[in-house]
Amino acid sequence: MTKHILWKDIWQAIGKSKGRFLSIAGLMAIGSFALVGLKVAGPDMRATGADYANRLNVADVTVIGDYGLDQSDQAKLKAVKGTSKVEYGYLKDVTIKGKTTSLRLFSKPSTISTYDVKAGRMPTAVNEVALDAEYQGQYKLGDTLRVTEKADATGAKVLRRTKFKIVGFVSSGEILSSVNMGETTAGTGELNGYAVILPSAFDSDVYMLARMRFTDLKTVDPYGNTYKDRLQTHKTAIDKALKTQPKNRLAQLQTEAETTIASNQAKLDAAAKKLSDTQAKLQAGRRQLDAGQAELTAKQKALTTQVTAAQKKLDDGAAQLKTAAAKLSAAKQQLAQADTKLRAGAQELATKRDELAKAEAKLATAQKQLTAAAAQLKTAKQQLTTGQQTIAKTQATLTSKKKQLTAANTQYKTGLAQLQAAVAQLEKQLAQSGLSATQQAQLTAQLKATQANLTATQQAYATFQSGTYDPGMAQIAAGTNQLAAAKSELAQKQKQYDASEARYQTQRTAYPQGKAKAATAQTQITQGAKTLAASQQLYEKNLATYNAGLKEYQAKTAELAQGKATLATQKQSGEAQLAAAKKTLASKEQTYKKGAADFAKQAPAARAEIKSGETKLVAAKKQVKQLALPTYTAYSRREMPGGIGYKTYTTVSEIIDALANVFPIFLYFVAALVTFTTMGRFVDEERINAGTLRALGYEPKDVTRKFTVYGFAASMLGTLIGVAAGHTLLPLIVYNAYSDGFTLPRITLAFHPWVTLAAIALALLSAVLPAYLSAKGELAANPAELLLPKPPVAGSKIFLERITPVWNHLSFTHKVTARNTFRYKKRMLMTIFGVAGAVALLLTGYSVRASIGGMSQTQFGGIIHYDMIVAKNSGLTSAETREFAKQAESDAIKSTKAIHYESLSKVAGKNNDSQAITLIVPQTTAKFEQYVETRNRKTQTALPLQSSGAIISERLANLVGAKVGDTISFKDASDVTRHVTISGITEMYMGHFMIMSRTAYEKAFATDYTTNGELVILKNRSQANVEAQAAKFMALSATAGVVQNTTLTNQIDTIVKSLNKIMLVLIIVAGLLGVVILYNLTNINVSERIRELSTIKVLGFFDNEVTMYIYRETILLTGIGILVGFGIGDVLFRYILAVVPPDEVMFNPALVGTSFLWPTLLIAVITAVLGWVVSRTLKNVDMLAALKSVD
Amino acid sequence: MSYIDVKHSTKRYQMGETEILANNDVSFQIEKGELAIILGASGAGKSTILNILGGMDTNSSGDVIIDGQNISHFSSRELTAYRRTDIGFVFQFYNLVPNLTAKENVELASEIVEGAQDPTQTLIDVGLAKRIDNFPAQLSGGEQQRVAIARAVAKNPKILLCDEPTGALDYETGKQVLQIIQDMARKHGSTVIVVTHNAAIAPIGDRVIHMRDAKVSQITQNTHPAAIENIEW
Repeated sequence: MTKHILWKDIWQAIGKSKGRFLSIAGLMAIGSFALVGLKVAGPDMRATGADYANRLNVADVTVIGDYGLDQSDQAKLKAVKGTSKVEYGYLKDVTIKGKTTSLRLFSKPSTISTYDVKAGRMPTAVNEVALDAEYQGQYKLGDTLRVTEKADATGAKVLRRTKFKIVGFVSSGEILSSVNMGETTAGTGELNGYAVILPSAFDSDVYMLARMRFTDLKTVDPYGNTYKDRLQTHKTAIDKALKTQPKNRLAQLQTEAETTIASNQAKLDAAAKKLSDTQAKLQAGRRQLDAGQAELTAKQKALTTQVTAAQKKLDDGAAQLKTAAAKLSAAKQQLAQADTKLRAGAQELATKRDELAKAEAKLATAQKQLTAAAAQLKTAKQQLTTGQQTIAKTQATLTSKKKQLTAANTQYKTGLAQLQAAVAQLEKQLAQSGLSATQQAQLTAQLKATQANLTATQQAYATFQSGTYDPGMAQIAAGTNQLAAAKSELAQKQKQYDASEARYQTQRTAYPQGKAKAATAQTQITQGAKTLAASQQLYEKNLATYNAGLKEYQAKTAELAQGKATLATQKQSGEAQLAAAKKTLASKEQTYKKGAADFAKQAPAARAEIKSGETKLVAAKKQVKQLALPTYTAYSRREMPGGIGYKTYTTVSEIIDALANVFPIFLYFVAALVTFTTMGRFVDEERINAGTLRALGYEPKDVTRKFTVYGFAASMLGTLIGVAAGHTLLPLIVYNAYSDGFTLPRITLAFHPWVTLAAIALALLSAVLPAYLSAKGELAANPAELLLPKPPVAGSKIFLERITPVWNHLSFTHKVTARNTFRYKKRMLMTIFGVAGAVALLLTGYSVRASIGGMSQTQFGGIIHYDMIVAKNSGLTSAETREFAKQAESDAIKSTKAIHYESLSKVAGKNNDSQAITLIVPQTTAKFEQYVETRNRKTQTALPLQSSGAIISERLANLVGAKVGDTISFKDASDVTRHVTISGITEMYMGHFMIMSRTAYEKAFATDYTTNGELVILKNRSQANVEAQAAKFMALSATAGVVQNTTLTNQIDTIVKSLNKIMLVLIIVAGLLGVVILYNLTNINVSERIRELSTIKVLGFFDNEVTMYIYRETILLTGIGILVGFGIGDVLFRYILAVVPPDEVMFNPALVGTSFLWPTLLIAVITAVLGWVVSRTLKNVDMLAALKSVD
Repeated sequence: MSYIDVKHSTKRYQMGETEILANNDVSFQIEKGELAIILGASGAGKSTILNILGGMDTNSSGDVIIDGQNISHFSSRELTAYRRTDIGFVFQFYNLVPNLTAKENVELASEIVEGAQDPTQTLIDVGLAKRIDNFPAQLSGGEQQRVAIARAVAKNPKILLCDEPTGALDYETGKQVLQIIQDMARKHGSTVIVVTHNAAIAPIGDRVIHMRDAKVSQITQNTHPAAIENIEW
């Protein structure tokens, strides 16, 4: 029997009531989403963390010793039982060169705490580095990373190199946080990153840390209690194993140090000795050199003397020779003169003889010439006479010719003139009148003949003139000229003849005188020849004497030359010897000088070195004396330096767990309540249908099935959506909230069957069970009863009516509302609880957000006013103190206050973590409130420092459950347990603080008060400046460390951010819940009372009156629900404040106005919107249909 | 001109694909102070007329003039105001608000109009002096219907509309209720319209409008309406 129609009816019921179906589904979706989401997000986070830790084989315990781990330490650790592997490594904090960014350089591990390589690879060469993946944006693979290592107090460095090539980007399994990695001694005091290099890049005798893994911890959940318990056991074992090590190590270190000091002292002494030896040697060398120089000078002198003497002798010889040579030369000259004279005499004689011969020849010639000249003169006299005759003849010819010509010419002229006169006569006659024609013709013919005669005569004259007269005249002129020339020539010849005549006469007289002179000359020549012969004889005698002198001179000259040569040779050899000696000396001098220079150059450095060595030795001796017992600390993953991320991550996951225990239960309770009511109403509505089915013979279970199937379908649909979203959406939202602060891989989404089953069970419980129960209750009646309408809920007086004064003052409509409100008690409670639930969740959400939101502002704006604590090293030199004071008084710093600063610890909290407490003891209490304002949170009254007891921060007091007046114990920096009475509990939100007066400190710690740090307030308080100033302090050797406020803020920030986002999700969920609840309740209210509403509509109520008739109740109940919600929300908030905050954080428990305002506003808006929806629905309701039907 | 004048009023319903004519060209007049009976079998369209007259529904065509006002063109709000001031309803199933006492149910109506009667006096008038503070569940059917009548008349409506007022009542109680309704016309001068399928009631009216198949089949006027005690069914 398939009962198709029955199933059809069921599906139709769903289709017809989509609003109800969806609201049940929605309620279940919201409930299961919150439940599943919050329940799985924490485990998912931890699973992700555990997987990551397992993959990278992160150490369970990390042991760090103050002075490193030597072989005896290693032996002790090796002996610890249960270890699966122990690995040692190095680390060193450095800064990136030129920046304040600090990096922790780890040696590359082989198996424990390996790295997740994000890009590139791990280093394989000593010059390679794998850098924190957070720096991937700033550096590329292949870039060079230069770091600066600060030397430690003894001046030692542990890095062999400071330049590395980046070959990879990695994430650490130990340092999970990217915002807070803990403290460092480099940079600003806050660690900014890490990097991995090969162990061989470290130069250290001891390892710096030991990483240990334990066999029995490998397979258990690292966040579970089993792990924590076992780990504690192992840590205790390690502590026990290392118990004697501090003393041994100190003793050993001291011995070592003393040996080193002694050997260093010896080395220094040796160096000093060497220095003085060298100096002595140099001095001796100087002396030798000086002696050599003296000897050389003496030798030089002797040589010079010898040479001078020899030279003088030579010079004398030379002088004598010179005199001789002069004499010889004079003799020679005389000889030459004599010779010349002789030759001149002979020559003169010869000349005179020649002259005589010539004069005789001349005389003969002159005789001849005289004769010739006389002949010539006679000829010339004849020529002259002839010439004169010719000239006279020519003259006569010419004169006759001229006369002829002139006569002819005159004849012509006369003829012409006669002819012309005849012509003129004829013309004159012609011109006379009265002439007869014959006369005239006669006259004319006469004239014509005369004129022709004239013309012929003229022509003949012209021919005469040109042909005869003119050439004749020219010939005459030329002849005249020639004649003149011949005359002058003749005159010239006459003159020459006269001169020659005169000369001949002179020469004829001079000839006899010449004959006389020639006779005289002959006599003189004879005389001269005789004198010459005598002179020749004398000359030859003198020549012989001279030649003899010359010979002697030449011999002596040769002798002198030899002497000179000998001297030169001797001088040369002497000088050569001297030069050699000089050279030797010079080279020796140079050697000496070089030695001296070297010495001069090296000696100061060497002396300085020796001096600094001595200073160092003194310091070292002091240090050895001051060497404190080293502490060996075994850190868990949560506790190790840089492990704050691990702790914070765990905290975030635990916060979600804590929320998971409250929110979903509350949500489910409310959702279930509403679902229950809704299903009940559904059964009521289907009453007559059910009766009909029963009447038709269907079994009660068939009828019930409709409701259970409906409930099942709606709740399962919602639950599946919620489970799916809870498994994915919420963990992803949580991941998104914290991912910025961590380097962990993306959250792993796992399926959690138990939570899913729980969600399904709860859904069945809140949707199917009430359906079944309601249906069963209804069906208990027989079918006939079922077919009748259910009697309406009877009216009754309500309690309020008994308070007559109040009741009478209510308007009618308000009375109606009041009565109606109490008439449907189930719905009233449901509305109140539903709204209250939503409001409570909203209030909690907003309160948590408000309380964490203002936390750092209150703490660092109202309580802590200093910007940083600067801790100083002990045993500072005066130079270091001065340097520190200079920085502390620099312009950037507003004020400082000297304090004693110490990091205390106390084991407290749910994880039994060691809580770090910052102890601040001001030197004087004056103006201390300008640095730290200790005050009671509730009353805001200041808490002054007492002369005994300590003021502790509120969270610490809560954690250890201490009140004012109680005594608490804690461990000081040297692990010594101390006790102190609490004199006050101050408002403080982040970190644990203990603040005492100087006297109280001395009492509690049984020690003298010393300052070791400064509270610093900066003028410019920006984060950047705080970091810059922190870096400046860190750079000083006097500074041990800097604690910045941002360290605390950053640490909390991740948690706050994650919590904030989760709260936002919860607020949204609570808001949705509010919407669904109010929608559902309003719907039920309307449908249940549709008849009543139709009635008043028919009665003429306006639309808004109709709406308010029913909605006034909703508003009232919502109002009550909000108030109740405030109460519940406060309780929830307190619960969250108790379980959620991490150990070192206190959420501000004060509730703020806005936390109340927002939920109220939100619900008010939802109510108003739904009111509008209801109003629309009622407007369109068919009042007639409702009134007609019988139910 | 008559007090109520319905002219050619037609009402159509669209039921899926088919059109239903609930009133087909209905016309009649009722004078002020008359007790009119609209008589007809189930589905004859009498309730539709009543709803249109009461301002709970509007006709598709034709005019409905009440005291000179044509309500067939009224807006939803005007109709509500019309119901509020001019109309009193009595239903077959009383439709009292169960959570309110008898007096409060009357007040529910009297609160919203000016010049309403005193609710208590109204209840006394309908003979429920002793039941004033009782809840509907504590009242018999006749008493509940009397509360309903009290609620309808308390606001001094121009017209009192009664839809099968005796339909859920036994004979005696029905007669009592009818008596009260008749008295409203006779003694208080109200214009009363009673819709019924019970022909036995017809003689008590001044005017009887017979409905058949969505039309007015006949209008009869009784110059001497019968007394309640004289009718039987």
